[in-house]
Amino acid sequence: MTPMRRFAPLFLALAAGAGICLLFPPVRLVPLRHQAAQTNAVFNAAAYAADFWSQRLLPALRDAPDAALLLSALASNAPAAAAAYGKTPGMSDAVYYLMQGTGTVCSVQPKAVGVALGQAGGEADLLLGTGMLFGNTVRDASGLLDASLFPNSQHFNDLSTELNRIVETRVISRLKAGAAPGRRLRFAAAAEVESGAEAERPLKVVPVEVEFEERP
Amino acid sequence: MKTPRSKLFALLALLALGATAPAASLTAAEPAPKTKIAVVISTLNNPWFVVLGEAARSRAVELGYEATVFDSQNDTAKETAHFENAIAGGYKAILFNPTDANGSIANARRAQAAGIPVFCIDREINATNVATAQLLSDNYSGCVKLGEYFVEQVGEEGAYVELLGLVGDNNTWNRSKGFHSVVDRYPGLKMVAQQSAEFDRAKALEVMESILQKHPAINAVFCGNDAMAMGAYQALVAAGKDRQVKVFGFDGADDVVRLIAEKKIVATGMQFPKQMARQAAEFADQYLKGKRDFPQKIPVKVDLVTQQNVHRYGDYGKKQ
Repeated sequence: MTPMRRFAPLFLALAAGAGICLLFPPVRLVPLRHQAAQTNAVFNAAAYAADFWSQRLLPALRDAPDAALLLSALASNAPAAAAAYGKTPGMSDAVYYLMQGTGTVCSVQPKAVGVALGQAGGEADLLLGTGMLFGNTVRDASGLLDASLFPNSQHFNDLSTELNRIVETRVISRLKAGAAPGRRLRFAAAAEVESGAEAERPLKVVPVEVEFEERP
Repeated sequence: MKTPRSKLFALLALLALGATAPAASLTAAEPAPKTKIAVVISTLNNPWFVVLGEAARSRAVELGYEATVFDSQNDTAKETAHFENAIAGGYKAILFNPTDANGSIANARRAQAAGIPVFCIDREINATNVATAQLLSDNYSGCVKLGEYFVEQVGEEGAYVELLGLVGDNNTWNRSKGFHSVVDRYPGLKMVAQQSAEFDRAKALEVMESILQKHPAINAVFCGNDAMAMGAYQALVAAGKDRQVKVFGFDGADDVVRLIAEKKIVATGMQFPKQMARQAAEFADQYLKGKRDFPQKIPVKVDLVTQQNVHRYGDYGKKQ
């Protein structure tokens, strides 16, 4: 047997092994920045948020409780208010609410507009935020979106960024432009209420819909 | 007639019987072996994860199970070996703190194929049809609050450093994105360096030392976990910059909570590892008793711990 023939099976095995390694690499090097980007490659948060906003969140506002009724329920029996109107995603002692109503602007501050729900001249019951918007209040207040729908929680969180951007550009800008003491407005808002803060007034909320009545 | 030899045999036989009879009756009275639950933790080289693993194990034991903790040492290959051992060893449920959001899916899938439920704790896997349930800290919201507090404390202008955790872990990016969703809105706040220290205290010390050589005039450092905050703080002390640079962590580890009380670290996010771990063990118990309808992903609220409210926190949670 020639040496060539003796080593032929070994060469064949090595060649087959190399072929398999080429087809199915045992190790793959991924640059740090590429990996972060990859997790977002297949999910278009902006498109999902725009669709959620127009198709689901705005219609859901019509079923939100009246703001005055909600504030009264929160002050008198917070657990009952949470059970009737609130949403708590996961394990948390904070409760999210949607609300709607009409009121009168009673103060215009650098980062908020104070609104009295009763007659003009009253004290502010709500502070509608007009500063930069962060966090998950808009995403979570309706209870229509569930973390379980998203295999990667980064996508779920990206939605908050996009929804906040929509609120800032479409709602907060309008509120800032039109707010003046004494003006009447119709609004819908979202709020995150921490345990123990249910009776605090004025309650800080995020405006999600604002419409001013025509000036007399 | 019996010989002395045969008498001796008879005596030995009687003794043997006497010796085995109680043993046999003892065996009959022994309780059935306990159902086993595996607790697979990404790393035990970080006190926070030791607390997570131990809380899961002890709750499982309280519920009547035999529970064993396995340390994956941040290595998915070791994690695979633990899953194979758990499957072969007859474990009936796995409480799982994954090493890698994508890389750990296959391990959970192995258990699923073997009919063993997997309950993720603290870290997620990027799949919604493999684990039975996933209890996950709401890292994004926690870091939004931390980012807002960062701007309050550092101001709207300054230079800062970010130390990232493991790049394959979603917690790393959820924390970073939550923080940046706030801080990036302030153009006067400049991030001069962003580097991974893999959630590790020793690596954070090393990385921070090297960053300080290049950027000695920073105002703050945001760390993706408390182990890295401790390492960064140690580097700042060694460089004599601990009073100049504000340190922010995330986790709610006891040593960082203590340093916040001593006004040496500014803030952290409390993640409640004991609460998550105990709940995961309770889910496993409910599953083994027949329950099947679990929510897939359960976010767990994170609290902002500052020098103002630190007295309310300790021992990896809120004081009662």
